[in-house]
Amino acid sequence: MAVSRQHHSATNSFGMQSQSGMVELATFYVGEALCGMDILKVQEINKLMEMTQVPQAPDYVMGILNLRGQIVTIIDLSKKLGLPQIQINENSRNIIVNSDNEYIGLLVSRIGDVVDADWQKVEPPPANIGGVQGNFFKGVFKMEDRLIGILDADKVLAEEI
Amino acid sequence: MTIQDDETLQMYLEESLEHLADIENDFLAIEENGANIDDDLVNKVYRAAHSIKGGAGFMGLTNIKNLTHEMENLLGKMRGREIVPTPDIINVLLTAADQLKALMADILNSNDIDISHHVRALQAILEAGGAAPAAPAAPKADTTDQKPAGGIATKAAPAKVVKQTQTAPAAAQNDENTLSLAFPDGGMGLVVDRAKVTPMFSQGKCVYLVKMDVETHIHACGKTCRSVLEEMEQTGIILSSNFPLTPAAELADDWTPDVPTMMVVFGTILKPSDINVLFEIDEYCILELKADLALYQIKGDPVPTAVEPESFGVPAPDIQTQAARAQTAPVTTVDPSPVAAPAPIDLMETALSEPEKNTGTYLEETISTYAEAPLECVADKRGGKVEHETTSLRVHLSLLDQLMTLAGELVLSRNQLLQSMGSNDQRSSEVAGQRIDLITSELQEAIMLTRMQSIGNVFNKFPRVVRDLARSLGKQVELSLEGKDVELDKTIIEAIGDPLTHLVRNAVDHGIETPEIRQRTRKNKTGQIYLRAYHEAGQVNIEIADDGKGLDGNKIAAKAVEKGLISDEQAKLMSARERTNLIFLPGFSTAEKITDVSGRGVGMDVVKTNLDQLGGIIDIDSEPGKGTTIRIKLPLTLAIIPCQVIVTGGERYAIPQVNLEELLRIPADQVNRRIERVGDADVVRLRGNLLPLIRLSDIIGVTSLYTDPATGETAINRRKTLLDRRSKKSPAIPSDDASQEKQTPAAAGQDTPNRREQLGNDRRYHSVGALNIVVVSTGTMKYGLVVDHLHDSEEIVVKPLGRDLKKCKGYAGATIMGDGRVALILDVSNLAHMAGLTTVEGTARAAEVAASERDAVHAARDKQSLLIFRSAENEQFAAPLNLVERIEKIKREDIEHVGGKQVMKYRGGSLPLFRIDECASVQPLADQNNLLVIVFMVAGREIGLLAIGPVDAMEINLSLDGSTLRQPGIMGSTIINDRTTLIVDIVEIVQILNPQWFEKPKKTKAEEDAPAATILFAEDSSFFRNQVKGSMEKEGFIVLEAEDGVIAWDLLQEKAQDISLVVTDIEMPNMDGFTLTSKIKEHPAFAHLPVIALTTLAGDEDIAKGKQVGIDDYQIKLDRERLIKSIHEFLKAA
Repeated sequence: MAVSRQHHSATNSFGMQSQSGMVELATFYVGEALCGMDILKVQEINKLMEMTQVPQAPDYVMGILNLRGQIVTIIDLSKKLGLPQIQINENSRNIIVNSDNEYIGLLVSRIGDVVDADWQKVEPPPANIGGVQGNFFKGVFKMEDRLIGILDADKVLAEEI
Repeated sequence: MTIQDDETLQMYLEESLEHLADIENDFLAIEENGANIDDDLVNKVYRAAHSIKGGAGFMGLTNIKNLTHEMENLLGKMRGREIVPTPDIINVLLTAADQLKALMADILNSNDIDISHHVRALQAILEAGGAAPAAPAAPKADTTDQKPAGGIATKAAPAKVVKQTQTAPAAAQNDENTLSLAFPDGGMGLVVDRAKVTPMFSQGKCVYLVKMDVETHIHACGKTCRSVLEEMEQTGIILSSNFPLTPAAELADDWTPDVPTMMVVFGTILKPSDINVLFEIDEYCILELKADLALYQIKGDPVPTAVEPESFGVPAPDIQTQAARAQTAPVTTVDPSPVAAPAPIDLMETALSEPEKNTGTYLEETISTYAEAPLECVADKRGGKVEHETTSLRVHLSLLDQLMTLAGELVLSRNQLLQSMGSNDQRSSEVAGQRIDLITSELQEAIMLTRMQSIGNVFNKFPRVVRDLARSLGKQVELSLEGKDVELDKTIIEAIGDPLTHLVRNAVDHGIETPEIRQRTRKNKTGQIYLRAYHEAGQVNIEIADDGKGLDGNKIAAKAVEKGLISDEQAKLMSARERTNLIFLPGFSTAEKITDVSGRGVGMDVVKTNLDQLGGIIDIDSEPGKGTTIRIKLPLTLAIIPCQVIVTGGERYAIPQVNLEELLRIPADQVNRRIERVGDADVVRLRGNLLPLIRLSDIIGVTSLYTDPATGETAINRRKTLLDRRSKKSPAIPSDDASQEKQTPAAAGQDTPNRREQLGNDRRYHSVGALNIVVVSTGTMKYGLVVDHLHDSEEIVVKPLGRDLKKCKGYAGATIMGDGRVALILDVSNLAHMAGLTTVEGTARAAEVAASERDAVHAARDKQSLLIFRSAENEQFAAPLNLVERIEKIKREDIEHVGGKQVMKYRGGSLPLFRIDECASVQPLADQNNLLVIVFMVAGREIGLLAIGPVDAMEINLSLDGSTLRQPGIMGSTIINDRTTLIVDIVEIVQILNPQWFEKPKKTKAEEDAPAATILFAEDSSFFRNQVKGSMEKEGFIVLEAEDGVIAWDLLQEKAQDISLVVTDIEMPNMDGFTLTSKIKEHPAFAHLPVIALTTLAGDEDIAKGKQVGIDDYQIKLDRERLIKSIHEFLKAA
């Protein structure tokens, strides 16, 4: 499915189902890479860093934290995307997304603006964006000065086999 | 046929299931009573069936209604003593009840399920008047004149004969092959093939003659002819009609027959009392054709349609008043074409794959195939349960009220808290906080209660399971249930059903023997199975005990070995109990049933897995020939569980209390003594048992933190650096030891000896810190989890972990602690698995350890500190540590060869050096540059023994083998760290190599003690006895041996005159050295005797105690020189 979508992308029908028109992208930095995500996917953004380590967990799992009574797994996006390890500092944030009825937190270096993007102008992702596998992205949105890689949250969070 | 709204249906379902739950056991009780019918009981079941039927009728659940109706009929007969409940009849009732449950499970489709065979079976019994199984084969339908259903007993017949005489005219116009039927009002009639009618009766169906006015009966009621026909097709067969018959499905929606009044002969399983549910018309429009081929009103069953001569042939205008009359009528011939037979029933019957649609044989078949039924029944029930579990729960109103009150209280307290927080009133915040605390606990309890269900819900199905299985296996089994009222969380109740069923079935199938075998083994013919539930320590215990043949641990072990699950050696070391518990091993019984190994074990690992998931624990105890007891421990609930909180690597973890056996803290100074290394595992000595230890930080791969005993501060890195430094720089500790250390979880006590060597002898008996051990149990095994710190026990709420962490098997979930942070919940059985401490390995190791332990205890109950070293790479030696003065590291070139001897410069003098291979035939000293010199004090001189590392000091239970490897210079051998270790007799070595050193003192002593002194020597270990005795005799003393204090005391009294000195061991059975000494010292005749105590290790406490009771001197067992010297001194003084 995913693959066929990518192929279709040439005809501009790639990515999401309702991708005509405008979409609001929540942007954030993973290291130096600027990424975006459909803002409707984002449950909340917080800076709870009181994580509990989970020994023996996959290396991209930063830990787990208590989000108002729910256990949320925090994932280090940089590890997952294969980017250089990011350090937790005062700019670090967790983007909590709902994926498959489960809350998962994505640890990012810092939060950017909310950007209005026109799906018509979103281009299919190249095979490789700054060292990250292209299939984690739905597309690339060009701003005047920067490129935003639009993350496919579900694909990023898909279980590793 | 319309299903009412969901809620009503749900209520009906719940109520019916409740009825059904009881029905089963009631049937069993009825069966037990036999002819001695308990009216109350039968009434109860009757009522239950009746209310199910009533509801079903209301809800349009025809199948359920019909089935219960038949059951009701049968029970009615039973109540009226017309039918005696035999096991066979009860069987039919039970299967019917099962079918009912199945129908309920799939209530929406229940009307489409074929229940005809149940109905037929029930009817057959009914008609046979209880003589069910003996029913002869019914004739095929083509035998026209004969009474159908040969199974009808003569008993029932006469009554009908009477009726028949009265009603004969109703079917007057009969010939050989056809039957003319008509309403008494003289209206239309129908002709029907006898060949079609008779099989109906034999199938237990009823045949009706029905007329429906298309306008008034059908269209006026909002129905269509098509729908009416459709319904009829679904419930029976139209045998004949006054209009051309087409399958309803092929008819147009607005189809009407070309007659104003539809007339049909309808064969169905519906009983007269129910038939009108289908048609919903005036009752006079339906007549029943009974087996005697006469027509009856459907109401007032016993009254046949009256045939009054005066009304005969007179068509009455008023239909209503004529309703009671029966009459022959002109017949409108209708082609009884085969088209009339709609498919459903036929199809169903072929689906049943009965060779003949034949009641008599059918019933027999039902009963004979019944043996196979239970399995399916159980499966059915299970399948059914899944579908409508967790939909709703019945809660007692008072409990609900209580919950409401509590919720109200909570709101009030919250208001109070908010208020006081707003006004910054700390005092009242505290009060409010306390209130909330209280209310929360109460609320929690109350909510838990709503989820609680009695275990009886599960237990109640077992009488049936046991009965069915026992019947099919030809066994006699009695099941006793105890503790049905014990309550458990709903989820657990639901989940425990299958494992328990499995266990109970196993008990019947494999546990209980057949009556013949039981009789032969002088057991009661009837086997007993006890099922018992009770509360204990906040958990629920369930016991399943049988008095069957038990499990043969040896066979199980053999099987496990054969399957390659354990090794031969492991099997040999196991206790009987451990062997029986092998059946829980995954893979122990995968496919084939191992009946030759007393069977059990079919899927036992599955049972265990299921219970593990519930946080339960299972254990088997079995005595071959006597029976088996299986114990299960379960938590009361899964949502909130009490846990022990522990800390390792700075992170908190929770261990469920269910798994917790005890907490163990081993003080620093005991670590050394109580922790041992067996093979590559650490074990702790716990009340005579050895418990395998695993270090949590090692399994989950975190850095353990410890608190420095001296400074009291937590040192995060220190241990790490210590480890690093040792493995890199230390020449004394070869790398293999260090790497071994890393690979396997090592207890602190274990690595300390190595470290101590480096740090210097002053720290020899000090460990880095106390060990905190959580002793956990996974049911089949116990082990100790070494953690950094112990915290409190807390009630925690279990929360699931995200999908990314599903692969971390060590955790059962997570919880949120009081400070809002998350703590992981440990899964102790998986941890054991991860540590490679599977059940078998763990137990085998423990058994191995225990075995060596037992021997050691037997040989010498006190411990001996040994210095372990090597001379050649692969030969391990040991010498008593007390004799060692020092250890020096030297280079080979430091050794000087002077005067035919090897010496080295040492503290300004020359130290004579010896090698073990000089006098004993062992491998020569390793040819390496770095050597060790172990300095001993022998004959008043310091001598050095050349050796190589690794050196280690160890305190072990020395069980010396003084014969196998005995040779000059070697006093014997023992096993240390899995290696045969030779114990060096340093004095002997020196004696052999330098005899002149010993000559002088020997001579003088011998002269002085011309009259040889007699020494009483008490020692329980024969090895030491011989050793010490030998050395004393060498000195010319006469030695009287005693194996313990009591013998010594007797000897002393006997030979009081001869004895001039007593040498005694401290640790001895029956009477120890202290007691012996105090007895000697208190007795006036012996008080003068000097007493020398021999010990392996003279602790300060012991010395103080010894002094108190009057021990004159302490000597170390293997230090013979000092002992002899001491003896001489005392003798001289005397």
